[in-house]
Amino acid sequence: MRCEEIQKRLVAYADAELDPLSRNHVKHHLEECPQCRAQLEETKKVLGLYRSIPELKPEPEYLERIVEAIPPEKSTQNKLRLVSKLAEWFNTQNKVVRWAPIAATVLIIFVLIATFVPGRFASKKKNLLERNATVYTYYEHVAKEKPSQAEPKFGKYSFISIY
Amino acid sequence: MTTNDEQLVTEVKSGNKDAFEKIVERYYKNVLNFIFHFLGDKQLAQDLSQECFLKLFQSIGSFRGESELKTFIYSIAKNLCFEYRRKAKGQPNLVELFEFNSDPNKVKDSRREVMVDLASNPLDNIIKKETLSLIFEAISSLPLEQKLVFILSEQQNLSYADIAKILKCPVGTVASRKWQAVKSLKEKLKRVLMD
Repeated sequence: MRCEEIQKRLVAYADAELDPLSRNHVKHHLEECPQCRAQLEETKKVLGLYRSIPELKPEPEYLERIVEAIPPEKSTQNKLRLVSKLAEWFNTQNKVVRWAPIAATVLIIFVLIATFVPGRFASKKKNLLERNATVYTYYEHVAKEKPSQAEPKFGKYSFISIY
Repeated sequence: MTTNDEQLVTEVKSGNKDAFEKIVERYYKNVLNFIFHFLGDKQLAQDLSQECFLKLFQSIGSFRGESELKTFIYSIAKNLCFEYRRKAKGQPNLVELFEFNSDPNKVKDSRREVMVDLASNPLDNIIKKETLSLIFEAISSLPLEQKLVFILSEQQNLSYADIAKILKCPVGTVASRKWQAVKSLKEKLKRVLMD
């Protein structure tokens, strides 16, 4: 491996994150290459500098404040319990069982739509046809009995009788 | 997921608030320090870490245990940091506000509050404070993704695999980002490294 490739792996090498094969490659190269050894030292120095930053210590009441901020309401807990129970059940079942209720729900909704929606349209259509037939029969009857009234009049004030 | 974390999560799911307190106790220092190193403000770190645990409490019902609890917590903390940065866009950058002041009596910045008790010798104290503020500034100037990887790896001691899970990216990407971060830091801290 060339120095450039080795140097790209030096950080992972210092973190012990390389696989055994790569680690051996880097290790052998370092034994022979003073430049890459110097780079490794510099890397360790940078990491050491950062690690020397002390940990931030929280204020004494900090933990208390967090715990107090957690909502105590029962409704939240009940909701949490229901959700977690459902999630637990979902995770413990095998694929077929866990998706079965969802598939069944979708199927039921589909069947309901298929049954009721076209039925409603059909009944509306039927009502309209029946009403048209009645109107037609009425005019037929009027035309026979009083032919003069069968046609609408458009004389003076005829609009009043229309409305 | 360690057995203890798993047990605690199960107890929290069944409504045990004490179990949640134990989780908070276990992770609050880590979360606080992670946010502090990422955003560079002590008060903000305290507020956001509090929010992080509230979010954890609200979402623990949907936690399936596929990843470790700590990975889940860091993901929430990371999202909060990113959300804060997005909202705070246009506001003055915290890094710009932080200028080194060699007079220990004029310490104002939250970062320096951490650095006060570094050494008993006042001169040593000043030198160390200057060095640390330089390191902080160098870290703050890194691109977000590199900074995130660097802090999670160095400050939180997380493995590359854990970081990859938090950031939802391949382990190779984590290694590459950390290498780039260290490379930039070497350049920026040349003066310190020479001493």
